[in-house]
Amino acid sequence: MATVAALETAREELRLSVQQLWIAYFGVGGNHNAEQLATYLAGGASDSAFTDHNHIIDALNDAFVDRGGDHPLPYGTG
Amino acid sequence: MNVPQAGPDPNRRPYALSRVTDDANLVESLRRVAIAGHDQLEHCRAASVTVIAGGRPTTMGSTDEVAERLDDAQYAADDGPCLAAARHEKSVRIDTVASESRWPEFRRVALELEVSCSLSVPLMMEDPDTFGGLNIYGDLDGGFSRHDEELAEAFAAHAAIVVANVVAYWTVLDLSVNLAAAMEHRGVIEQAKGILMATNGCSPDEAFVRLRQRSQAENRKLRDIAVAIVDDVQGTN
Repeated sequence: MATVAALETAREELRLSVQQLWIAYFGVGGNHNAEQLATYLAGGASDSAFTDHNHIIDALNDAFVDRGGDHPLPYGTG
Repeated sequence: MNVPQAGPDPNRRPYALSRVTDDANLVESLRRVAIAGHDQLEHCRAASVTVIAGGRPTTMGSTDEVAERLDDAQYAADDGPCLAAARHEKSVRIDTVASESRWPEFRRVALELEVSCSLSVPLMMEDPDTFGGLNIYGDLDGGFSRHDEELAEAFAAHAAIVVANVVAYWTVLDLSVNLAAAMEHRGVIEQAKGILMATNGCSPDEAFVRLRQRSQAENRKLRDIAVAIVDDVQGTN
């Protein structure tokens, strides 16, 4: 599974603001708000407090597909 | 409303900006900021307002095509006096464009348009990711004076408030449009999950995993897979 650090690296690589990522994450079913997402990406929230890790990966992988990529971020089993 | 008319009277500055948004849409508001800026200086030939948001510069308002062409030349080269002033938050005054060597593309277009001097003043924004500049182009031998620069800087302090509010409004508008699209995407994904649950007798989480697996297998976005599933059921494919 892609780590939180890997997600943040991917977000920067995709040049997405946290707000842009949050909108995409919300669009695929994410349930946390933008502030919670920002805290999680900054390493300030535990996995148990933030339950949508895979939806962040969904949003990022979709953004990679838009740019010609092919789901580079692996999912977790949770 | 009456757009402020020409005349370099510093006492008119607050008035010049107090009504730029009256009865105007946003682009027109910023065009009026540019006109008001133009009117502050006697030898100003054209003026514009540049906003750099997300690293991309845009002329948000201008007096005319002369200002727009000069701005565009700088955006194309990703450098020039207005970009330098906005990015470094420091006024840039060019007294004689013909002898300006730092920005050759700007010089080329300026000379073509018979613009001989310029004054670029930063618009100070609170948002650390947004920069702005008031660009003033003239045809005065010897360029604008230090007094002109002070007038323009004083005007820019007022103008920055208007520009910041306009940018904030657009940001919120953009957010609302993107949120509406995200809600639509979310809705169609939920519909697809419901279809997968009904056809496979699985849980919502299992349905989403199926959606995700198909997205990976076909290298298509989740939303596109969801739309295809819904369309299949509706018989629209």
